[in-house]
Order: sequence, then structure tokens, then C-alpha cells
Amino acid sequence: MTGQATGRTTGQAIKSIVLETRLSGALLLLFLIILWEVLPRSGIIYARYFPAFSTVMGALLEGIRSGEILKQTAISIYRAFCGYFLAIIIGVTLGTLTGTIRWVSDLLDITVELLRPMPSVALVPIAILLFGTSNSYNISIITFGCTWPIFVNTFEGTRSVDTQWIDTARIYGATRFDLLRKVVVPAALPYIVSGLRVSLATSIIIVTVTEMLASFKGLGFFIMDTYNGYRIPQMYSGIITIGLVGYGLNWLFMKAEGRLMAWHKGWMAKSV
Amino acid sequence: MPGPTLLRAEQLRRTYIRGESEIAACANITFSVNKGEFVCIVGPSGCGKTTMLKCMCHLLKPTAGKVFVNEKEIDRPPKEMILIFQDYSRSLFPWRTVLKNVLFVLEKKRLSRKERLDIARSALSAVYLSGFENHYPWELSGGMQQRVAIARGIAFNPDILLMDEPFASVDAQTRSDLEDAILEIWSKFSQTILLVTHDIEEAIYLADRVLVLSGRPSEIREEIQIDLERPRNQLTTKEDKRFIEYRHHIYTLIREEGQKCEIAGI
Amino acid sequence: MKEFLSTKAKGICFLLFLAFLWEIVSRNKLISPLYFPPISKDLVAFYQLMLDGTLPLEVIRSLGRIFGGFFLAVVVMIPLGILMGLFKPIYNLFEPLTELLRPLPPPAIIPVVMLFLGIGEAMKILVIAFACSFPILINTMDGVRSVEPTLVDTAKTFGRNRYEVILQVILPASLHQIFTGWRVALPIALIVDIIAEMVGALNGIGRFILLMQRRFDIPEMYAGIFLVAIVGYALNALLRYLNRTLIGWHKAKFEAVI
Repeated sequence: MTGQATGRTTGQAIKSIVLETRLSGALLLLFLIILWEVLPRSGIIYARYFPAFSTVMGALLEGIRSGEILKQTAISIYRAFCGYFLAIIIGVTLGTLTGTIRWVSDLLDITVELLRPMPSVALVPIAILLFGTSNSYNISIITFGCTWPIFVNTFEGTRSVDTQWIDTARIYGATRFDLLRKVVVPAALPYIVSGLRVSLATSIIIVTVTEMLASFKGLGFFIMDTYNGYRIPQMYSGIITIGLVGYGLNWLFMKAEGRLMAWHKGWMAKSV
Repeated sequence: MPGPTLLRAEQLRRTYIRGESEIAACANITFSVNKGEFVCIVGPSGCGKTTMLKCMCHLLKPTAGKVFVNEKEIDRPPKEMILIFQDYSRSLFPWRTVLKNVLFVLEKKRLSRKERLDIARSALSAVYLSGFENHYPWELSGGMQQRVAIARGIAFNPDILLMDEPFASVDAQTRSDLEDAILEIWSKFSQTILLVTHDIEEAIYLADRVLVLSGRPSEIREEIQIDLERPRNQLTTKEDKRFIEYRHHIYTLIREEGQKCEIAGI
Repeated sequence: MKEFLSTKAKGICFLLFLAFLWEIVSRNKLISPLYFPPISKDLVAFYQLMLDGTLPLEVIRSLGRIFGGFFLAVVVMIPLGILMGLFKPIYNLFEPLTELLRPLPPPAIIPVVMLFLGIGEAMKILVIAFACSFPILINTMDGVRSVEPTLVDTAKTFGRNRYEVILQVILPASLHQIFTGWRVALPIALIVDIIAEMVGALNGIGRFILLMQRRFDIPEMYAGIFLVAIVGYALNALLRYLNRTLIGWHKAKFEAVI
């Protein structure tokens, strides 16, 4: 009788763990890592191409200790940020202008429609011609690629500002500049922020790619360099580092967004 | 008792083009509001009341006609006149707290920071919202949000408040509370108020004078002086024999106009 | 219609102005004509390469890879996304793994895949599929999870079994979100294809552009870039067309904006 009762509660506990928590997912990760360790060691996967997890981690720690990985990471982040900030300035300015002034959007409409679907990496050869392998080469491509999500979101955001907010501000004597600063931009900010989030991820991708194609510094270069030099554990450690950088930056962004955009979350939750 | 003329609309007309034809939202609106007066405009629904109000404060350019405030013709939204919208959720800024929403209207005035805060706080306390300064508007109930919008209006200290169906989006109980609140503000601040509504009882209950609009294109059909004692009371005023007579009269007028609209197929 | 023409006219004039500027600046050597040959020369190169079949061949190869990888991702990730959206245990099982892999820039795995598969078609298709997987998976999952429960209950009340509910209610209701995933993924497929071809390939439009740059055949390089722009534009137009025809609300929304 009691046994049955305990059995049921244990069963319920397992059920609730499976349903409510991501323990199973964590176990899957653990299992994959164990496979990553065991398969190369046992020779089932060719260990030269796919070294064991511990070997890769060893290379990562060594890279951090010697400072090489940190140096390359710093260079990549620096380039990504330069391009990202330029993209913010260009994207927000252009997006606001096209979103609020009719003739600007008429003028740029077709050019934007032609340029926007253009994959940024296709411009790599031009940038190499212009800038060689200097930082400007990476930054120009990053700027091009990151501008579009910010531009499009800013445009959408300024377009979707409720006309009644504008009317309200006009009644209280707001000038055109007041409207922009106090109504249009704050109201469009949730859109702009989601463009910024997309662009942040894009900037990491593009910095990696441009460094893989033509650079002598940075994480992307490090990956291609170790690949060509057949230092495979180091190559994997570089890939893991890029993943960590992407994850970390996104995490920071979400934290900042949660704090700055709290009003929007609450408002959306209320209006649904 | 009525003061000098504060607001005057002359032959106000606004049309818009739909396809080939020109449709008039309002045509030939002429009336005036005196200082200290509480005037209500009632009309059948969909007769262009909001368009008329927006023309009055030049948010929309009138197709023809003139609006005078203090006998001065206006050509842009005038500082002396504030419009409060029906839809508070779309006129309060969701990214600003209640206090900052009120402060918004004071930012253009030459005042010290402390004076601004004092004005904003006293405006909020006039609508019984002290203690909610740091809430966001969307955290409050509908009635409270509309009171924030009203507080914002009085904090700006205009000569005249225009209100566009300000109580249409709240429930009946809140509505009568808000009606009394606006009457209290009107007498406390000796405000001048022009309020547009489709609710006949509300118009009679609040106003010194009721203007009845015709259906589209709307014109002032009739002007009715409301002869009821103040302060007014939700029960006794609405049970007054004269109140019922006014209601009967205006209701008949509006019914006729509504039917005209239907026949015209609008 | 008249107004439509006049607004388009401004845009076209601006574009022509930019082209004209390019021509003038290059002809007067304000920017090195070595790097920026006059646009007329680039267009001539484009015309010739299109005519002799070089560019069409390269682009067909690239498009094959793009759609190959894209459809591989669709075939695997849409069922997985539906399962993850419907069943909490499956969601819990796979969510940590996707969260971990998602921030990884897809091009970073190119060297890994090259180790195993070399620089052939399989490498590119796999990398493209990897890159397309996340937008498709996440949007499918979100779409399925955000289906109004009342709709499901209604269908159940009318005696639909589980499979019918999935096919007749959940899929149609989440279709526009699933399509959003496609819209994000297809441009990514194009980008990743070009990257993969630049890093390691024997042909394809990405490889062509880089090769022309290295051989200093600059007008030919621009011709390749023009073609990439056209492909990007065409894919975008295709998506917009599909969006309009598959999901009717877009039109209504579009009209509301005007």
C-alpha cells in the first residue's frame, strides 16, 4: 500500500522533471560530450579530424593561457564593434529620415530595394581592393551587413508610430524636432532594438567570415590558419571561442534590453 | 454671467476625396464658446465629430472656414486650446511614467524643475491620482488613464479644454465618476470646456449649453440652453422634470438626423 | 497611378544619378579606375559573360547548392520544430542543444566540414543546411506554440483526432510564422553559399568573384557581383510573391499601411 503510494509520487516526480525542466536536455548535452570524448579515443571517428573533447579543451586552455586566443578575440571584437557602431549611426539616421520624410523614402526606395538583398560577403573582393587586409576591410563589410536590419527596423518603427501620439504632442506645442526626439524615436525604439539585436549577431558572423577570407589577425583568421597548419585541436578551440563570444554578447544585449525596454514588455503584456 | 467669447468657429468645413467624389465630413459649422462656459456637442454617431474637433485645433487643415481663439484666427495648434482624445491608451505615452507623461507638456514652458514637479503633482492630485506618479499608464485602469490625460490637460493650463468623447471607452460606473470629476475640475479651475459626446444624458448633465449636430455633412442643428442648477447630482439632476424634457427633445432631434443618414446610405 | 509613377520616377532618377556619378568619377580618375572601372565597362563585361554562358553556369551551380541546403534544412527542421512545439518533453530535450549551437556563426564550421567532406557539393549543402536550420526550427516551434488553444479545442470538440488537428488546425494556423522562418533562412542560404564558395570551391558564383579579383579582372569581378545582387533581389522577390499568394493577410496589411 505504502509502496504503491511512493511509487506513484516517484513516477509523478519523474514526470514533472521531464515536463517542467530541461534536465533531459542537459543530459543529452552531457551524453554528446561523452560521445565526443569516447568516439575519437576508441578510433571510431578519425581523431586527427575530430579530436577528443578533452584534447580540444586542453588546446583552448593553452590558447587562453598563452594569450593567443584572447588577443585574437580582442581584435575580432574590436572590428565587430567598429562596424556595428557605424551601422547603428547610418541605419538609425537613414531609417528615421526615410520613415518620417516622404521624399527621402521616394528617393532611396529603389536603391535600397536593390542593395538590401545583396549578400554583404559578395562585396569582400571590392573591399580587399580598396583597403587591403587592414581593419577597414573588415569594418566596411560589417557596416554594410549590419546596417540593413537596423535600417529596416527603424523605418518600420518610425512608420508605425501611432498618429494620436503625434497629434497629442502637437497639441501641446511640440516642434518637429520635439516630435522626433520625444515621440517618434522613443515609440520606434522597441523596433530599433530588435534590429540592433539581429545586427549584433550579424556583426560576429561577418567579422569571422571576413577574417577567414583575407586577414592576418582575428579569430576567423585563427581558425583558417590552424586549419591550414593542421593544428586541428586549436582550430576547434577557435570555433568554440567564437560561439562563446556570440553567446556572451547576445546575453549582455538581452540583459541591457530587459532593463531599458521594461516599459515595452509590460505594455505589450497588458495590451494583448 | 457668460464671459467674453473665447472660441469661435465660422463656417468651418472639411471635405475629403474618395474616388471621384468629394465627401463633406462637416459643413458650415458655426458656433462660439464663452469664457467659463461648459458646452457639449451631441450628434449621431459617425457624423464627423472627431474631424470637426481636429479642424478646430488645426490638427487637420479645414477646407474652408475659420477658427478664432480670443478673437485671433489660428493657423496652427494653438497654445490656448488642448484636445483630450477618447482613446487614452493611444494618447498617453507608454514609455513614460504617469508623472513624466504630465511633465511632458511642461517641458516647453519656462519653469524651474521644482515648479514643473509642483504643477504636475497638483494636477495629478486634482484628479485623485496622487501616489500613482511612478506607475506606467498601462498599469492603471481605463478610468485612471483618462484621468492622467485630463491631469495633463489641466497642467498645461490652457484657456479651453476640448474633449472628444472622453468617457466613451470606460464602463458605466467609471463614466459617471469621471463626469463628476470633470465638473469638479471645471468649477475648481474656472475652466472653459467644449466636450463632444454621442451620449445625450451626459451632454445635458454636464453642459450649460448643448449644440445638436445634424448627420453628415454635419451642421449645428439646434442650440439648447440647459437650465439646471449646479452643482449637479447624478441622481437628482437626472430625475429633474426639465432634464427629462431636454432629453426627450434632443433624442427626437438626433433620431431624425440618424434616419436621414441611413436614407442617404452612410 | 500617376502618383505611383512620380514616386517611382524619383527613385529611378536617383539610381541613374548614382550610376552616372560612378561613371564620371571613374572616368576622371577621382577614384582609381583600376578598382572602380566605369560602370559602362562593368556592364559590358556582364553582358558578355552572360552571353557566353559563363555566369549562368556558375549561378546555376550556386543555386543548386542554395536550394539543396535550404530544402535539407526544411525537411529536417520543420518536423522537429512541430514536435518541439507540440510536446514539452521533446522541447526540453533539444532546447539546450539548439541554444548552445545557435550563437555559433555558421561559416565557422566550414573548416570542420571541409576536413571530413573536402570541398565538394556535400560540404556546401551541409553548411548551408546548418545555417538555415535555426531560423526554420525556431520559427516553426514558435508558430506551433502560439496557436490559439481555443482553435485546437474547437477542432477536438468536432471530433478531430490528433493527426487531423495537426494537419487541419495547427499547421495552417502557424503557417505564416513558419514562412517567416523561410524568409529569414533563404537569404542566409545565399550568403553562406557565397562564403563557402569563397573559402573552398572549384566553381560557383562566390568563387568566380574572388577568382576574378585575384586575377585582377576587375570588370568581370563587378559583373559577378551584379549577378549576385540580381540573385539576391530575385530570391527576395520570390519570397514576397510567395508571401502574397500563400498568406493573404499580407495584402490587407500592405493596404492598411498606405
